[in-house]
Amino acid sequence: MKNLSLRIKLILPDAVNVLFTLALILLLVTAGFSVTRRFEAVVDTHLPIVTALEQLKATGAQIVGSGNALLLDVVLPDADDAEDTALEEAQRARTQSAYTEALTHYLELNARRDDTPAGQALTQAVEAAGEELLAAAIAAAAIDEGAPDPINAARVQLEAADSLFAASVEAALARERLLLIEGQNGVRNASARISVLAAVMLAGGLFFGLITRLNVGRTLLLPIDELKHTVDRLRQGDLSARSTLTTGDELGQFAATFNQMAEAIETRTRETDEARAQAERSDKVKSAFLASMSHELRTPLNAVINFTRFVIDGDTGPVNEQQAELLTQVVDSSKHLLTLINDVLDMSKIEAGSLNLFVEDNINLNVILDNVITTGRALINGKPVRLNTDINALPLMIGDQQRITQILLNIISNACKFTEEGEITLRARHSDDEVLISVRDTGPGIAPEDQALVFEAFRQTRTSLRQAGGTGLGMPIARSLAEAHGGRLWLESAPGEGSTFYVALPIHSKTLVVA
Amino acid sequence: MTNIQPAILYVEDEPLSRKLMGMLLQGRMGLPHVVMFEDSENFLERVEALTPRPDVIFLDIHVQPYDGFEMLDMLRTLPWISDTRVVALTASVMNEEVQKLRSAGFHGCLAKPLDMTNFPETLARILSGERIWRVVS
Repeated sequence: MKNLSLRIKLILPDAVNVLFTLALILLLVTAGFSVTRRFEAVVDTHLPIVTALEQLKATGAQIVGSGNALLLDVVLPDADDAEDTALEEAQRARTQSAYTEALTHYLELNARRDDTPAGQALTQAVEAAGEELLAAAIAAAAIDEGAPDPINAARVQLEAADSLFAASVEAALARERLLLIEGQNGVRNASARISVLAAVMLAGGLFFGLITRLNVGRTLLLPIDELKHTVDRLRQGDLSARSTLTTGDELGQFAATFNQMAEAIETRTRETDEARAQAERSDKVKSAFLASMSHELRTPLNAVINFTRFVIDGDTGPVNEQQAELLTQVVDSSKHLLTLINDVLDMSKIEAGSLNLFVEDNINLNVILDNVITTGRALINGKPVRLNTDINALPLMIGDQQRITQILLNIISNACKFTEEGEITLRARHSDDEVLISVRDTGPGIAPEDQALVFEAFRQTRTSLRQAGGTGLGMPIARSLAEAHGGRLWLESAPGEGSTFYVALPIHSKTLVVA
Repeated sequence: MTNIQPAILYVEDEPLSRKLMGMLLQGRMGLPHVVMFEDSENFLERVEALTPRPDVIFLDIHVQPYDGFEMLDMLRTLPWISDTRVVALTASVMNEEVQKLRSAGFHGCLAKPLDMTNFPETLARILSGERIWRVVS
């Protein structure tokens, strides 16, 4: 039952119910016919016999009556004549004929039924008594007038035959009446039995129907409830949720498929979690390594650069021009090394995708630009280059102050590095949602085929290679930082016409979340 | 400049850095009240014993047994600390590290290698209450 298909589980009880109902109808119809037949049997058999016996009784009485009349004539020969006697004789013959007819009819009816030996004996008794009565009547009729003795004898014979006949008929009648009553009782009992049987079967059918309905509930609703509960648990994040349904029907198959799916989800989620944890671990190790390397390189450089500066600045006594020049190169090279360390660390973070911005609200870009301009003027360092500014009051914006400064310093230091003469112009404008800063220089410009290289890590243009210094990482880092802010960084340039670098930053970036 | 000769405490375990700051603060700038701790043992007691009280405290971060953040937390228990500027002086200036310093409540951070040329001006700005995050060289 458990492993039947759902279709069969649903149809089977209904089919059984239909069959049961059909059987009930058939039974009731059959029983009805049977009762009818029984009733007909009672009516067809016993009633005609009773009627026939009554008839026989009546005709018997008539025979006795006419016999007595004839005997009276013999005893009292009066005025009546031969004509009168002839009439009585005719009457007797008619009576006799009616009696014979009634007896024959009775016997025929009896012959038609399959009676018991006791019944047959009663019939035979009636028949015998009848014959005797007839014989007595005939004997009475044969007596002539004026012979008193025989009259008495005939009279005694007739009376005896009459009482015997009456007794036989009454006995037969009594039996038939009894049979009739029994038959009626039988029909009544059969009807009652059929009613009870029908009621029991109907009640049974209803009960069976109810049981099958409840069973459908158990077969369908309980498993569906269980499945729904399991699905809900899985949906709420309980990845160990499994259906316990094991039936072989469609719901059981569904449960098995669902369990496979849940298994797959659990496995995949666990794998993803493990992979994420692994990635986070290795990311942490990497970050720790980079931080440690930065720290370990900066600490000796602090001593190298600053002790050298003390010597150059004369804190330790006079130095000659050549010594000062060489020591300045030590400082510059050390600073270059520091830039290189910074850039390589930044780039490795960018390439690992682990560059995190320290996002703040209300960053004042005008203050940042002031610092950048100060640095720019220092970087020009006596070259015949004029630094122009064209800066509007800018709105406070969201972003990483340090990283925005880094972007702008990279651009301005690039311009200062490559511009030997002429001017550098820093412009800043803003729209409703964006700040646009441009740095235009009168440097050598960048050939179209080299422009893409400017933003590629560890690649430098031919022009910049000629110029000493630079890591080739400044622009790729600046562009990555601008993009991390949801902004853009690009350049416009032609050889001999200088370059213009643009950086556009959103004022209210929705991708940035204040730390 | 409100305080021409500020009292300065510098906690640093690395001898060359201490020597460098000594040459800068005492030698070049001639400041009379410069104290250096080479570790953070009994840190709070030693700070409380200082006369005059420091106007600026420079803390290296990688110091034993208490690191810069722990020392900052200890300093917060001092009643007079609101008059003192506590600035990190560290070679750990990766972005995340500076973020940690900011959220820990340091009044600023100076990166190693130290920008010695601009140091007097920077110190004046620190004393005037400005928060300095000089980590981009």
